[in-house]
This record gives sequence, C-alpha cells and structure tokens, in this order.
Amino acid sequence: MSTFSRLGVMVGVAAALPAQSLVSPELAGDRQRAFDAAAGASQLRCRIDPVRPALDYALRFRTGYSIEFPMSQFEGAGHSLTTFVRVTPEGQKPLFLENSGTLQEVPVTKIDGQVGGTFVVGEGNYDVEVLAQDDAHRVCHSQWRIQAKRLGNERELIPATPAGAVEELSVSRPRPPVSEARNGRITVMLHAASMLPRSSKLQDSDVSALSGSLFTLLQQLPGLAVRLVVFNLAQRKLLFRQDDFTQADMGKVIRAISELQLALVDYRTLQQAGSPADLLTGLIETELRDAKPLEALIVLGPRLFTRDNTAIPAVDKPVSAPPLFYLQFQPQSALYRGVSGPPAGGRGSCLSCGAARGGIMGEPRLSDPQYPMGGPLGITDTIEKLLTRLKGKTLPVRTPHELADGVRRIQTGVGGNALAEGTAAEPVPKFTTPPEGPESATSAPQSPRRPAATSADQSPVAGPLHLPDTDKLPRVEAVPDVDPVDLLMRLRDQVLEHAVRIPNHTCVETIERQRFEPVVGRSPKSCDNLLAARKKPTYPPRLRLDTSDRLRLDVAMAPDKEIYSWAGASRFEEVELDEWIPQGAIGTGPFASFLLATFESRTPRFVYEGDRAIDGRALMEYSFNVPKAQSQYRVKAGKEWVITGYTGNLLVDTKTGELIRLAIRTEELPSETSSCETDSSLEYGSVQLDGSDYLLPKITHQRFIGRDGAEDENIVTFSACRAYQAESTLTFGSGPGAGLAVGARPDSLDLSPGLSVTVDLGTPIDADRSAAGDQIDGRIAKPIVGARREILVPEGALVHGRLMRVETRHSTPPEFTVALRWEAIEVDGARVPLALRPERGAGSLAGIIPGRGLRQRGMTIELPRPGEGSYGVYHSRAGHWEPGFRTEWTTAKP
Amino acid sequence: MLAFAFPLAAGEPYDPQVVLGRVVAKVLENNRRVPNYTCVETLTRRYFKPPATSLPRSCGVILESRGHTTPGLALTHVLTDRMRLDVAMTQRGEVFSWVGASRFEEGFIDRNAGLGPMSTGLFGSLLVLIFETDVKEFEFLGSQVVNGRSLMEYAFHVPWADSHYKVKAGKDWVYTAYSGKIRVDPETADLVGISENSAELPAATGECVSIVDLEFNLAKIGDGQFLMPKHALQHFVAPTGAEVESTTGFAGCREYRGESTVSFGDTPAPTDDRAAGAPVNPIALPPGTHFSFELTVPISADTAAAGDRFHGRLIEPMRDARQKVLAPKGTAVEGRVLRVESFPNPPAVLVGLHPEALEIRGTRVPVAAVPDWRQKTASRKRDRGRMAFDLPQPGEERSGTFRFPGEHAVVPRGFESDWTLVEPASHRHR
Repeated sequence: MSTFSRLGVMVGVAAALPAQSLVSPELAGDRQRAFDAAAGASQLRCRIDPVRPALDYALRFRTGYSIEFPMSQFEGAGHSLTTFVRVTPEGQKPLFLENSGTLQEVPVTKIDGQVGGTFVVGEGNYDVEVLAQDDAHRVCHSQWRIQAKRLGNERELIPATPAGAVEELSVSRPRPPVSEARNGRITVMLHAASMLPRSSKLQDSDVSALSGSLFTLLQQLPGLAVRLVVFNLAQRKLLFRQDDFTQADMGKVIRAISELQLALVDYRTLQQAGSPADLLTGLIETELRDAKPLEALIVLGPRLFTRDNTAIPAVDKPVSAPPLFYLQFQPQSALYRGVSGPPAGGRGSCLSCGAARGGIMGEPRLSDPQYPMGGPLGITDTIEKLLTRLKGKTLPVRTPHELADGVRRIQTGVGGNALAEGTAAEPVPKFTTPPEGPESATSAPQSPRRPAATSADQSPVAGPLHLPDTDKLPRVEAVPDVDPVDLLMRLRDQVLEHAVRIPNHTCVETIERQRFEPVVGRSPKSCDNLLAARKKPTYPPRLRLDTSDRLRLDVAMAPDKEIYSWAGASRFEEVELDEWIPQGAIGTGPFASFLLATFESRTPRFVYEGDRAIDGRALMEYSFNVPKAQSQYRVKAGKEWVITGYTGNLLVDTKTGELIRLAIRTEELPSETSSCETDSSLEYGSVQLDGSDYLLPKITHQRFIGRDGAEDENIVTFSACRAYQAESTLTFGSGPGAGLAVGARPDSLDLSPGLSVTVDLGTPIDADRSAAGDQIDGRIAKPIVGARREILVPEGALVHGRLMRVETRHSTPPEFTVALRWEAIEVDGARVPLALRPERGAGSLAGIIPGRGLRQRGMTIELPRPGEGSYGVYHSRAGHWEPGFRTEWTTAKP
Repeated sequence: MLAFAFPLAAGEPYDPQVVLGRVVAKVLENNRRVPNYTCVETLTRRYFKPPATSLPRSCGVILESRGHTTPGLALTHVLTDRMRLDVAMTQRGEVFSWVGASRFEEGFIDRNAGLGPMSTGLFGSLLVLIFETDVKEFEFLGSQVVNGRSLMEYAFHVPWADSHYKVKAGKDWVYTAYSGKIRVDPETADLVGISENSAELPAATGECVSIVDLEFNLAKIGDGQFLMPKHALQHFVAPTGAEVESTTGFAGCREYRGESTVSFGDTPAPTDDRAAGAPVNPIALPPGTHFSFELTVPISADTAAAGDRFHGRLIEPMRDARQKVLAPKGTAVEGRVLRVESFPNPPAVLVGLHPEALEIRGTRVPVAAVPDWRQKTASRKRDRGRMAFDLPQPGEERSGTFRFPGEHAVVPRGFESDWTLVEPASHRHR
C-alpha cells in the first residue's frame, strides 16, 4: 500500500462516483484478471483504509473502505476512477463489487481527494482486497481481513444478512418472505420526525435509522401481518397507512418520509381543533378498537422535544389490549460500538469518509441534540406519556445494539404463539452451535447464540452479556413420566463418567475479553444499588465498549483445578492463571471445574423449577444454592483469595438428559475484590474425542461487574481438544524449555547483552483473529554482530516467538495493539532460547533525533505495562501487521 | 526377620531389645491364634476446610504449615458423617458388610464409604504389615509415662520398596512408604499403641498424607483374650489444606458363629440376614406400586450412622393398579440408613433411607423402592411452587435423601415419605 504525506485539505469526490455494486458472476473472471494484473501496473499514489464492520439499524454489518489520494494526479478534465473490491468469505469463493465514475475537472491543486464505498456482509470472517484504478491504468491496492460478529441480543435475532454473504447496501431491497402463514397481526406506528428538534426536514441519519428499524421489525416478527401507520405529530398529519405491509414496500415509506417538509405546516392544520396528542390518541384508539385483535402495537420514533403542554386525552384501553411498545430513538452523547463515521448517503456512497478512516463503519450516530439527554426542563415526550398511561413499555434506542435489545423484548412480549412456526423466526432463544471438529489454533471462535437471559437481568446494558433468563423461556407442561430427580441423577452420572475421562485431555481455550466503561466515568457505588439498577428494565444503557483483547491457551484438568499454558507450550504453568496473565479480568472453571463442582462431591440441594422449552425442545430447569461455608468458589481479592457462595441454574433436555446450560452467579463479593458479582453462563454440547462424547461448553460467557460501574465480559470457547499423546506429556514448571514449543532443544547461544537485533515478522498478525498465546515466526533481518564485529547470527536466521497481547481500543478511530516476544532462534538447525528486549534507544521513540540519540523535551514515551518489559509493543490503526514488519531489539540476559 | 537399633538404651530399667522381642513374639502369636472374628466398627468423620487464602499448594508446604498453625490456616469444621459396619479379618484381609448382614462383600467399602476417605487397614492388617511383612528395623526412642503407665517407644520406617501399604489412587492402588512409632508396655509386653504416617502421597490419591494413631487393648473373643484395636484416630490431609479427622471405634467383637458365615459377593445372596432362611416369597409386589410409610423409631443425627436399621409402618394400605390391597395399613417397613451427614453451617442434617423389606402378614417381603416425587411434582405444577430435593449419591439410587434443619436434628417418629416400588435387579442408571 502506498502512503504519502497528508495535507490539510481534502475534498470528497464520491458524489461523482456511482454506487458500490455487486459484479455478476459471469464478469467475475474479468475482475479477477484486473487484480492479477495489478502487480505489474504503474502505481497510483493513494492510501486505502479499511472501514471495519459494524451494525446499522437494519441489523446488517456495514463495511467498506475509504481511499485518499492527491488530486494533483488527476489535473485536467476527463479523468475517471474505478474501484474494484474482492471479498472472500472464509471458506468460500470470492465475490466482486465495483464502482466507477468520472472526476470533475481538477485544477492545479495540492489538496487530497477522497472516495469510499460501503457494502454489507453477514456474520463471519472475510478477506477484503480493494483495487483503485484510474483512466491511465495506474493502480493502488490494499487488502485486509475483517470479522463481523454479533454480540449479546443481536445473536438472538434472525440475521438480516446470512452468514458469509456479501450484499449491496440497500434498505429497500425486499427479501423473499420467510413464511406465507399469518398467525396474527401487529400495528407499527412510525413517527416520521427528526432527532434534531428544530430540523426542517428529516436528516439522512433519521431516514436511515427509522427505515432501518422498520426493516428490522419486519424481519424479526415474521408470521405477523403488519399494518404500518406513518404520521407526524408536529404537522398533525397521517402520512401513510397500509395493511399487509412488507419489506417490498419499504421504498414507499422511505420516499414518504424523505420528502417530508417539517418546516411547512398546512394552514388548515392550524385551524383544526385538537393537539398533536389528540392525533396520537386517535390513531392509537383506532388500532386498539379494531375488530381484528392485535398481537402488539409498536410505536417507532425519535424522542419528542416539542412543548406540548396539553393534557393527554383519556384513552379507554380495552381489557384485552395487546402489549404496547415504544421504540424511542434517543440521541446519544457517547460513542458505542459501531457508531461512528459519516452519515450514510445513498446506496454505497460515502461522503466525507475521512472521519471513518480505519474506523468502524456502522449506523450513523444519531445527531447530537441541542438539549441535554434528559430533555429540556418541563418538556416530556407526548408518545411516552400516552404509552405509559396505557401501561406500554418505552424502550430507549441509541444504537443498533439497543434496537436489538428492544426487538428481543418485543418478541418476548408478543409471545411465541404469534410468531410463525417453521420460519426463521425464533419466538424463544434458539441454541445453535459452532461447527463441529477441531479448529485451528489461530481461528477466531465462532459466535454461537447467547443463552436466554433471566428476567433479573433484562437490563439493556451495553455489551454482549444478558444473563441467563430462564423466566423468558416459555413454561410448558411437564413431559409425562419423567421424574425430575431421576433426570438429574442421569445427568450426574454422565458428569461423573466425564470426570474420570477429562483429565486425559487438553483443549485450546480462546478467551475474548471485552472491557466496558461507564459512559459517565467510573464512580464507586454500592453493589446493592448497582445490581438493583441493572435489573430494572428501564436501566439506561450506560456502558461503552472500551477495549477488547484475545487470549489463546491450552487448558487441562489437574486433580484439583484447571491448569493452563500458552497454546502449544510444552509445559503447564505452576502458578495461578492470574499471576502470569495479570492484566484484565480472567476466570477459570469453564473447562470442567464448574460442572464437576456441581456434581462431583456433595451435591447441593437442588430445586426443580419447572419445565421449559427452547426451539421445541423440552427442558427441565433446576436451581441450586451453594452457601459460602460449603463453597470452593474462590475470587481474588488483592493478593489474597476469598471464598464466595454462589447460586446456579441448570437446563437439562428432558428426553435425552443432556445438559444444555449451566449458569453460575456469585453472591455479592466483598469490597476487597473490587467487584460486585461474577456471572458465568456455559452452553454445553457433546464433543467427540477418540470416539467418546465429552461434556464441554461450546461457549461460555463470564461477566465481571465492577464496583466502579465498569464491567468485563469474557467469551470462552474450546477447540482442538485432544488426548494426551505419548510425545505430549503433561509437565509443569519453568525449567529448561519452558515456553518453547515441543521439540525445542535446551542448547544455548552465547549472545552477550546489548547486541542489536533486527527481526522481520514472518507471521501475519491480524487483530481480528490473532490472540495472545499464538506462536509467531520471524527472521533476523541483519546479522547479529558481536563486539569484535564478528557475525554471531547470520541474516535470515529463523526466530520463534509468541504474541503476548492483542488488544483493540474501541476509540474513534479504533487503535490496535500487539505485544510480542521472541523466545527462540534456530541456529544450525537447532532451536535455542533467545532473550531479547525491545530497542528503546535512539530512534525508537518519537522525539529522539535519529542517529544521535539525543533526547528532547516533550518527547512521547510509552511506559511498558507491568510484566511487559521484554515485549515489543506496537500500535496500528489498520489492525494488521504484515510479514516483513520490522522490529528492533537488543539481546538481554536470559 | 527384624533388626533392632537401640542407641538410647542405656539407663533403661528394661532392656529395649528384650522387651521388643517379647512384644513381637506376642503379636505374632496373637495373630496366629486369633480365631475368625468380627467387630462392629463405627466411623465418625469430621471434615475441615481451610480459609480461601490457603491456595492449593504443594504437599510439602501444606505439611510444613501443619506444624506451625497460623490464623490463616485455621480450619473450619464443615461436616460430620458417620457409618457403622461389620468388619471381619479373614485370610483375604479385612472385609466389610452392613451391620447384621449375613454376607461380607469385597469392594463393599468402595461402594458404600460415601464421599469421604476411609482406611481399611486399621482392624488388623497394620499389625501384620508392621510385625510380619514390612518393618525391617525398629529404633528405640525412649520411655515415657502415659496415664501413670510406663511405656517404651520404638520408631520404624518402611521404604517404598519394602512396603505393602496401599493407598487408593483413582481406580488403582499404589504402594507408599510409611513410618511411625509403636508404644509397648514393658511389664506385660503388650502392644499399647501405634502411630503411623504415610510418606507424601502421589497427587492421584488426592491426599498429601494419612496419619493414624491406634490404641490397642485385650478383648475377649471366644474363650481367649486377644490383642484388638480399641480406638483409632486418623487424619487425611489434602493438597488444598482440607483435612478429615476420622475416629474409628470397635465394639462387639465376636467369633464367627455357625449361623453367621462369611461369604463373598461372587454368589447371589439374599439382601438381609434373616432373608437367607426365609421362605420363598409368595407375595408379588409389582413395580410402580406406590406406598407411604412413617418412621416408628426416631433417628438422631448425633448417634445414628449409615448402616443402622430403621423401622416404620405403612400409613395407607399398599394397593395395586386395580386397588387391590397388597399390604394393609400399619404393615411394618424395615430398611437401612444409608447416609447421616450433619452440617454446622447452615445447620442441617441429611439422612438417606433405603427401604429393604415389608413384613406382610408375617412374611418378610424384600422390596426395592425409590422416592415418589410425582405428588410433589404435580402439586408444584398446580401452585407454581418450588420442589427442593437432595440427590442420592452414586450407589444410593434406591434410597431417598431427606434434609432436616439443625445440626443435631432428630428425624422424628412419624416422619412420612412417599415411595414407588422398582425392579429389585441392577441399578437403574449404572
């Protein structure tokens, strides 16, 4: 990828370019040849930055790119630029997109131009290549890898785009109906208004948010006939009304609301008696009194800031009134995952994409209001007031993620019977599992669905964990003749058999860690207040994703605990996990300890809670409580440990006796732990190892709720489980060879400390896939020369190391960080230990005069984190480090 | 062949070597002459847990810490359980059965010892190991006065290569080195006590060490007086720092009688002593039949033990599907207590009941039954209440486990429970 100095001025030229369009399959060969020919073509100076996937309000992952280039390359008239995009979903054939257009005449200039493109992907991993080509056949090329991953309640919904699919950006494009059956009907009332209180027309972001959300409702409530009512309260006007509204009709709505002139009020409207509240009341009463019963009435619109002081008219709510919901769009003052970048323009366009460079492409941030979050004093939302009077629920929406939360609550409220059977709709959470079979040690974990959340935790807290909510699962009649005690005994026996066999196996454990910070900053609170507030449905989302990182470990079961090592290391660590991974929240137990603690020794007293159903699967639910006096659950408190009591919940398949889910929640933790509570939810499935089934969690979510309001969520998956082999013995300790891959020789290389070492990275690092613990290779870029100028290690010698941190800071734009260390070098075919420290001398720090080593005042330094003194730490906005990435080191004492 | 090392013998009123020789001879003679005999062994185990700050650590650290107890290592009592067994010394070693059962079973302890540790060598095997097979050398330590009685003390050490001392490690048994002391009465040449502790045990055993202190006395068996263990105190120390203190008492030692034979589990046998001579059961009780009974004798958590018999009576007639009365109201029910566990915090007692037979019109009818949860399940469905229960332990599937509040609870006379008859054959789930 070419780079150049940025100038202070940029212009957007995207308006001159048509949309990013999918290339038909018959033209794919031509586009492939364009990419093949790029290597030999002359270079176009430009810089291409990825725009990483993020959800929009249609719950699709938008992604794309932005290209920045000096306009001086296109002086004169008649120039054109074509962009080809090759997107390869993991394990599939590539798809091509393109756009092209003619540039307006460019005068002599030093300014930069910018174009961009947007397209939509389904959940999954993709390789993306972008090739920009001008009319002189000069090219600019870049490639990267992206991951689209749903979180939290997003996983509970029908994906708007199938996994692994690549689509053009189009809200109005209809999808084939998933079901012709109609089991009931709902009314959606869309209030066509702007998030900006005094806007004269709906902004692009308003149209995008409202139409995308409507699209989502249609998508997620299949099997229901929809009556759409579009209105505007300020104009006291009914804009659109249609029964049996489908996604095919989306274009009509977008046109209707886009053309709305909010600043124009018909004089006749002013002459009419009645207030906006009267209009709203009338519309709602009409729906509630309709002869055909409603399954739900959903109002969709921005929070109102109009000063309508008229009283809300009395409304007679029918006894059998349906549930009422108000998806209330609120401007946000803080950035959330996937909320950044420019307002979405038309299909595939990207105006002023500079803000999104290297960032996350998502739904445009809802416009900042002129009023504070709570609204100006004395002004209330008329819709909210009326809905509250009718005992409806107001569901605040500031981000697409919150829309997913709201839709899930609506699904639950509408109930399973009304939603179509046999469709993609899921009236209740449906468990799906990641692909069977071992995964490679570097593959990112799949994203199975989250387990159902408990009613106690319906809070729309930002972040992926909504704790097990068995209350949300429909209660069903008990399966006759199944004794709940007998069923649990069968499970217990299965677990005990597992306990005998599991110590002979090890798995790769991948931990995705996410750190959520309070939007308003950390502040100590009492756990009582914090936990109680989290459980309220009205609890406002107040967390933002701050950082995330990924770890990859080997895990095995020792007689009394789980033991760990970096993935592929020859020895398991003797010390506790938190001692060698000191940064961030981390917990043990998902591999086996949680389950064995439940059944292996004296079992707790169980409570049969009743029969449930998930996806037609009959389940029995049990709960249990382990008081502190009988607990072995330890939590770190400073340097010490404390034991905590905990409660648990089990879901067991009534027919097969299989464990479906185990949820563990600690009691309120003592203050010295700095935490209020830790919650773990483990979704189980059988894993075949050596022809036998093992009970392993397919995915585990651990949530650590801090006393200062911050929260951590770890998502744990297991892969590559295998029995111990003869050559893979289970050993402990930090003796010779510790940390080296199996087969390392404990020979030594006599390198005195202080010698300069330059290493070129050989293994590509991608922040979307790589994990701390992954092994990496590199090559010595320059001979290592001794004090007498003798060559100690030749250029090209192979070095082996390990990633020690792979972290993403979810700022705007995001920042990616890796920490790595080199552990061994191959000399004469032998792998010997290598001790290096990152070069922090001349030239390695900003502010140091290259070649002279002079330090300047005001220079930027980055203090290594505790324990990372011997790691090289590197930052990137792109999130990937290509082979050849050069790093400078000095030899150190082993 | 024994060797002796007596560096400290000077000044002793008795020659340590002579005394030890007499003791050894007496023990060997005792072992040779003792008839087949059986005793009732009552085992009370108290479980202690360390504070959380005591991380699982190496056994060396744990054992070293035991000698220097600090507040951080103070253990908390979390549970007491109790078992009562018949134990017999045979040519095949010690064998066990429930008290009063007609049949000793090999592997009985593995199946019935519950979840706690248990040693099976206390009754007589240890004497054989120390005085006949393992110990090659005693070292005289000195004399001491215990309860006004002058005793001489000798140390012994058995390396792994010479040891026949076995410890269970998972499904296997492993040999371990051990060492200890014996205390003898120089006047009578009686063995008074043995203190023994194992070497550090392999991790697979789940224990760091086993420490035992045995006291002996002379007990009358048949026509003779024989050296018998009176009392044993044993400690099991786990790598977590948790400990179990096991107190074993022996009583009712008696020679085998004609009607009390020792048989082993290879051949089918009735489930109860009296059933061996009982007439062929003429009464068929179909599986699936429900019945309820009440206890007629209370069960006290402070004295009862797993293995004790319990007694009850039907509170309603037992009827078949056609409502025909199979057993009238008041029919005697007899069974075995399978579990007695007492928790101090929160205070509660768990009692496992295993119905074995009904006395129907003068005929003892063996039964196998499991608790009938259907009524509770049905009522729970009706009122959306919660149904709490305790799982029977593995091997206790044909029993019901009941919880009572209070660390010293007494299961009262009149306590009612509901049951369903099941096939008396193999275990349901195993």
